Amino acid sequence: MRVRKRIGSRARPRSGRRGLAYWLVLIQVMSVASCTGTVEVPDSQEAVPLFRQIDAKVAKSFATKARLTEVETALFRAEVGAISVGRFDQAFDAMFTETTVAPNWPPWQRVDMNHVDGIVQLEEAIADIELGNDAGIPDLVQVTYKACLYDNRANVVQCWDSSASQAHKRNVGECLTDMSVCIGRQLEITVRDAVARMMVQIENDPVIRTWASQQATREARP
Amino acid sequence: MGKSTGHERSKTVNIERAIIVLFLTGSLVVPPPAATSAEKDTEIQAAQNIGLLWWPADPAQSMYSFSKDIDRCLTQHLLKAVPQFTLLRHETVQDMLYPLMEPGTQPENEHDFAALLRRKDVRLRLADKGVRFLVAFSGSTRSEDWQGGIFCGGGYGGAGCLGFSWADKETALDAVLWDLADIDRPELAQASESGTSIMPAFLLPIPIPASTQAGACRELGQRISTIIKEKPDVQNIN
Repeated sequence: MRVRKRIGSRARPRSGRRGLAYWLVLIQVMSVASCTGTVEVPDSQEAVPLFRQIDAKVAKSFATKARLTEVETALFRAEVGAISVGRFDQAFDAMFTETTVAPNWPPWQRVDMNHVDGIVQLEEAIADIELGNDAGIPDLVQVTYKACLYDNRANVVQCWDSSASQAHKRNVGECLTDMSVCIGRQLEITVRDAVARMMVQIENDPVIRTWASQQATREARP
Repeated sequence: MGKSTGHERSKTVNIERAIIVLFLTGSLVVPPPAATSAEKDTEIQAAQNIGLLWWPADPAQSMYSFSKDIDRCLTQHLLKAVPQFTLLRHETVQDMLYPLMEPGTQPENEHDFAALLRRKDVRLRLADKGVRFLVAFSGSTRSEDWQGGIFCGGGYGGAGCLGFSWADKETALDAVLWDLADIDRPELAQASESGTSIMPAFLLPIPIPASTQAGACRELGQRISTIIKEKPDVQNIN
């Protein structure tokens, strides 16, 4: 009660030291308040990704586990799942000659999927953010993905994993105004890199090309 | 109303003749021939953009700030030196070539880079964006430890420093210039500048850093622009 009274009182003169302390606390609270929120990262890019297309019609699916991935720190929240879904949606469109969207419910595994050659699914999106500081400890961002291609009877054709990480040592005051912007850029670089690694891996995978040519042969058969 | 004049009749006959002639020559049934490789080269030569790309990108580098400075500086210099070209900065070119130029997917050496530029989809994308030259630049700044000495002290009457320190600094940049009309002959350009950062201390230490980065970048920009200007077909572009 006594403390409250003293804080609320404006008439009583304060010592310079105590006044400074109040101001510092206020600035700290304001800066923390300005930092909290969702990290804004673009979930797509302007140019269509370059990819030697796979001649197949596939349905795109994003597992709930991947879609809802979030990373929360004391200062902000990053919706890594939503960002990843946007990026992979664009990537899958570039990878296959024809794409459709697999149903969310009932799950595509329980539905007749004979209208497509296969289903490509983002299975997992795992992200980790470790905040550093201005004194030389870098901010660490790591993103890992797992995607699989299934045939239209839900048998696995091939799965791929990709991972990327980024350590960023802050310059003095670089992330002072808005920590989420600073981490957002780092997260964007990492997500871009991990998706790119996955795309290149799939592009160079002979299994998927063989599978696609088998689908084409089957369709050509009377 | 139903009767046509002699002039209209002759006009109809002329149109019919033209259709027959076109049909006989095959123009109506044969699609236009696909562009030959020579025509594609002409398209590339007519392109008017220079793309800048930080390569090989070092993901450990502090949020690419060094590359951004060099990118900005080279853009400014080349805009002045070869004003007939438009400059596309690193991020634009990296987006254009996604996913092939990310830290984990970029080509490891010049041979792989050339192979990438030979990819049909890459060439089409670059041609579509009007890129004639691609400048792949890289480099770093190396700073030595501080030499000399500064002594600071304080007492009840006040505090202050006295002394002099210095540190050598060197920025080395290099670039590979790819002419998309002639991928087999990339041209190399290098530039470096060294200087000494000083820190005199009289009461307060005042660091005066050597700006080696700007000098090296200016020199590199000059070399790149000279190579571009020497291209015979570029000399004709105004």
